[in-house]
Amino acid sequence: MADDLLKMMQQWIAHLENSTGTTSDNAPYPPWWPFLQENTPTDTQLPPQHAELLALLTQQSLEFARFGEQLIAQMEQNGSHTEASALMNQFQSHLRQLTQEWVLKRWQLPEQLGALFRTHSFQDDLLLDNPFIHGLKSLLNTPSQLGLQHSLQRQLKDGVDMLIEYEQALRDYSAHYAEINSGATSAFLKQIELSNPPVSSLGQLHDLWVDAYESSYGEQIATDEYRNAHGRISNAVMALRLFLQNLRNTQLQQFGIPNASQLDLIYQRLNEQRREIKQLRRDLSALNALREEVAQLKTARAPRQTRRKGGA
Amino acid sequence: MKGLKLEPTQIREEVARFNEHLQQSYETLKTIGDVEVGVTPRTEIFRNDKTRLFYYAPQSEQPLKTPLLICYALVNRPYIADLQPDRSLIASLTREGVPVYLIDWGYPDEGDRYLDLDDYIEDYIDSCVSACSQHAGSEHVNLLGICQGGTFSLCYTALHPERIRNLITMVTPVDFHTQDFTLSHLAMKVDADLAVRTYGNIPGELLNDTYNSLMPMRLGVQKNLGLAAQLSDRDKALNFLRMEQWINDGPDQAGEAFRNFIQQFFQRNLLLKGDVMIGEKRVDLKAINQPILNIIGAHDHLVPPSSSRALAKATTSPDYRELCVQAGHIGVFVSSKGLKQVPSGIANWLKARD
Repeated sequence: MADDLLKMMQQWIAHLENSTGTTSDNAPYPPWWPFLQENTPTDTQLPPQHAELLALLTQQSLEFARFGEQLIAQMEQNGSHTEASALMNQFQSHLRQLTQEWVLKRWQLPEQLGALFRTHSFQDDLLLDNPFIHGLKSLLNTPSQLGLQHSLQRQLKDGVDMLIEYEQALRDYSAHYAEINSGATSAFLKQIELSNPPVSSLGQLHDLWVDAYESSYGEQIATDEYRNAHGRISNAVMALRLFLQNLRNTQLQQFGIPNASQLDLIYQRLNEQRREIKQLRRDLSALNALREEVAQLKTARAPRQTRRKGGA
Repeated sequence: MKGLKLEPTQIREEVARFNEHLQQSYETLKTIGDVEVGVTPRTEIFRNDKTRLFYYAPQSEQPLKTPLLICYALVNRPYIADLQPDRSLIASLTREGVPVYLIDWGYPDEGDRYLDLDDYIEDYIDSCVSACSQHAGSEHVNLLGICQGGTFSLCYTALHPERIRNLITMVTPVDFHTQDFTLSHLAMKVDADLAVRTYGNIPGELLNDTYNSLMPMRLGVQKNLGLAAQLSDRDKALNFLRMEQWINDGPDQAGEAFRNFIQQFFQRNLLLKGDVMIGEKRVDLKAINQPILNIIGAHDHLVPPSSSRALAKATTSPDYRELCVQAGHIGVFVSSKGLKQVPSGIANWLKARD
């Protein structure tokens, strides 16, 4: 697989070299991107760390090349009359997408809920029959004789409240990113205007953007409003995760299976015992030291007493 | 638009060059196996639960009498102080004649969730100080704390001043509420109780994401775009891979210790107020009158210089010095600039006080 991948990349580079300086009637690039995307991360000839890096590199290369191509296509289509503002729009939408992905990835829903929303729309009939909802329904259907019905209903209501809180917190948090982006964009455009010599490469453009973005980001995160939004989204994600864990624990307990909270209790007791044992060892060691000291004192005293007795 | 001159030919060349680097990177990565870190010879001399103490013998004919005990942070692994032969704070110190001891906290697992700061400071550090002292045949030790390990070292020295001869703090947070302390600012509203109830031990990956979020574009887009060029050269690739290995090797944090640290230090800034509680003991920094060397990174974005510099007035030490390195948080002891200044700075300072 590795050699195939290499061959494909070499072909593509050769193609790029051949087409340098030519016009828009170039043949389309070979369709190697999907191939790379599908195959690189599973490369078994490299240690995992390297394979991950290569996957990241490839992804980055895809983004970079895709953006480069879009720009080239636009410039070739419009010739030298291409509006710089159009190019800038292209660039900013490219970066906005990167930022948005980053925000969503960072504050994604706990796995179970995330999976639910990825695989089902709310209109989907299957929504009501997926494992998560099925689990909730079976909990709700637990005979009330077990005494769990009321508390479970309350738990579920809490869950919905938490989901709403998460949604609002994410919206609030994303609003800050809209401001950061807008601040970064104006600083970026200002920097370009001031660039002398003019910016002539995508690399320079990226660097300028990074500086502008970090500066705008630094200002925004220093505000109390951002701090509150950050705390809110952090806590909302954690609360949802904890809620799901508790729900799972309740269910496991109901079936008589040991759950995480019981295990946790065992760890807590083990830790208390660990401390007690260590304290006992320390006390024992101090006691031994004291015993040795007494023994030494006795030994030191004994000859004197013998001498005194002998003298008498 | 004035200041912008993009040409299709040039962009195509740039993209081609980028992909050429990508290809070279692939070739380079194929020739590199697993990377090695922490290569300076060492001996494990003591173990307490998962905490281990390593000894690095001095490589000079006139070594210092008092050993130097290095206490690293709980976040990340301590081998950053011995990353590779030519980027090793520890190797440089041993060449200067310093007998070095390093505390390695290990990787906490679920069973360690209830370890708190009392365990770390009054049990693990304390037993390492004793083991170091005994092994070196010295009544006292010199203590060097890095980052959070520096904060722990301050607490330990305040609680046991009789055991420490000289104290060195490196990129250490002291005042957690300075204006430019972004990490602390962001931690203020995070519910630490909820975090511990949710995760038990706090995942290292989560903390890593938090550090990266302090400069998302620089540590994301810019770093990734530079990757291809970086990895196409074998030596640069090896340096990069070692550092990446370290960055991604963040251990989980014992839940209780994390809660103690976030609430007492980050959120309530109790260290400067003299109100931090380690177990049942109160930490009073005024109890520290040892000579102090405070090493600061001028461009440290994790622990800003303003936070570390607060130490100047926090203790009763009549012998307080600062060494400011023109580097970032990690660059202080890994960059060539840092390695030129820091090991010799420490060794000379210690020699004058041995």
